[in-house]
Amino acid sequence: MASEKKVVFLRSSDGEAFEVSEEVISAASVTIKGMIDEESPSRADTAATTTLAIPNVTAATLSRVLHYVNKHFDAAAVVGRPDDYIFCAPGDEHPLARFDDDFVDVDNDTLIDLVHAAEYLHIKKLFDLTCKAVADKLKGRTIDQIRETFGIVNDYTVEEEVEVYRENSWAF
Amino acid sequence: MAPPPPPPELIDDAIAEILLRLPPDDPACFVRASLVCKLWRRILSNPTFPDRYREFHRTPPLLGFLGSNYSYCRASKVSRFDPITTRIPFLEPEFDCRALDCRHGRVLFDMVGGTKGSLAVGDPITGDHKLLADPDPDPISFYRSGVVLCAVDGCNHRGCHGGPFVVVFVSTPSNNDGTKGTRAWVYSSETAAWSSPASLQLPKGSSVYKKRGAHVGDQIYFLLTDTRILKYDLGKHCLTTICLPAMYTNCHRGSLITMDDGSSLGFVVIEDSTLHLWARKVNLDGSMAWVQDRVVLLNNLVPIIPTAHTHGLVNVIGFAEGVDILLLGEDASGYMFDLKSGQFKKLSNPEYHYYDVFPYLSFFIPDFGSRKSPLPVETKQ
Repeated sequence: MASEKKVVFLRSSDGEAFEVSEEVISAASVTIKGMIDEESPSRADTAATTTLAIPNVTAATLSRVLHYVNKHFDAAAVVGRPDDYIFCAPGDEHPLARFDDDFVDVDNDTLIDLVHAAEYLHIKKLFDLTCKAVADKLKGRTIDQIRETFGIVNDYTVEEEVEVYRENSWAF
Repeated sequence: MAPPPPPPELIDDAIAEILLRLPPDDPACFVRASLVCKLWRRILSNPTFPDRYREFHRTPPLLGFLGSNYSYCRASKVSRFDPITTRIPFLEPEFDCRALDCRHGRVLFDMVGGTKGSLAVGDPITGDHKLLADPDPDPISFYRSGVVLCAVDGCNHRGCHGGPFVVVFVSTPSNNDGTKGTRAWVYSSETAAWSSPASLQLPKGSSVYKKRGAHVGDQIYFLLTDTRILKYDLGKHCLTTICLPAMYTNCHRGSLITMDDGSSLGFVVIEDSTLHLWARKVNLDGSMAWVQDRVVLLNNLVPIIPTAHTHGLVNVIGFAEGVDILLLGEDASGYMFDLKSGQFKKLSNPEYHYYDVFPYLSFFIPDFGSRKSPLPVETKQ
């Protein structure tokens, strides 16, 4: 099929262009599929490849996202379900479970960038995976550690904090 | 030198999605998250958050279990709660009681020495308890059991613990000499009344066994003290009996469980360090029969330490439906056995006398949005 060989370029917020199969990225990202569909009428009669601007995602993050997307698409194709991109759910007994674990075993800033990229690009399984990874990081951390990890400023007054502690003393 | 760039900030939608993925089996996580900043607290306080959270996780987690530390003297039977995680604000009843059942987020208590009523249905998270008059004309009988069920048809039981309920209560009079009927009553919270009793004559020596019942469709099953099972039909309001799998001469070391997502009755028993799981299935000719579902060799899995009292006997003392976790007791020790993964975990309280335990499965999301909250639900950005 001719469309299988089509590629698109994605230009990151810092100006770097990444080549990706149109079929792969359309299956993975609702946002980019929408952009490609909008471009389609003007592309039909030209051989020029399309470059799509992804203004919210840096090159470092986009590169990681495309690595994830290609890996999952290939795995889906191997088991004969190329259309069922979502079957590689986090936590499933799946060959990619290990890949997914390693993929989110990154520093906090990288992980948060991936959460936002997955949300902006509307890649549901990547969004699930990264949000779950952040939630897992919250588990077992103290309140101060959570604030420090995510750069959050405490906007409670001392009195308010004491009151919440008092009401929920069972949790400490 | 320029200061390092600040970490990327989480935006509101992403925070909500992350908080949605906090683990259901550790409710203290919600409290810690609510104290991070007011924005996080506001997201957790959103009235839609609990519904979204339950919808996302679907299966209520096993938060802990109620144990009945009782002997044959009723006055010494007092229920207590052991959390699986160490932090659950579980409100134990103020009255002396023992648990008869725990299901759909509610607990059915048989009160001991109570004056206002002899049964109670409670929500251990809110501490609310409703006292029910004891329908049993022989309330000192030892041969009593019961179940508490959500009364709403088609309910997914993820957050129904404050809603209408029914109680099915069965009792065999003391010293059943074969002339006294075993009876079943049904209580409806909507009518606040007990039904008239359904009755069945059981032979001498056959009585309701004090273990948790199993709920399958319209049927409630209770072990009897011989080789049979009492079956109560909610639709027909009648009692009948069925038999245990043929090789068992008594039920004392086994338990009835609900299998296959609530569609089959199961019987699980440990003999010779082997766990046998039986399921009641439909034969080709339409009749029902016991089918061996699974056999698990325990001797390499449970570190059984024989004591002078138990000789290392392990009993099945409970089952958490939905999460498929069996609770096994060996006198002073309890174990959780995950039927899906095959993993064992020793329970935390070594002083506990494990006899019959009632798993408590429920979503627990602290109410940060209540009026007693000292903080405004809406704050300025």
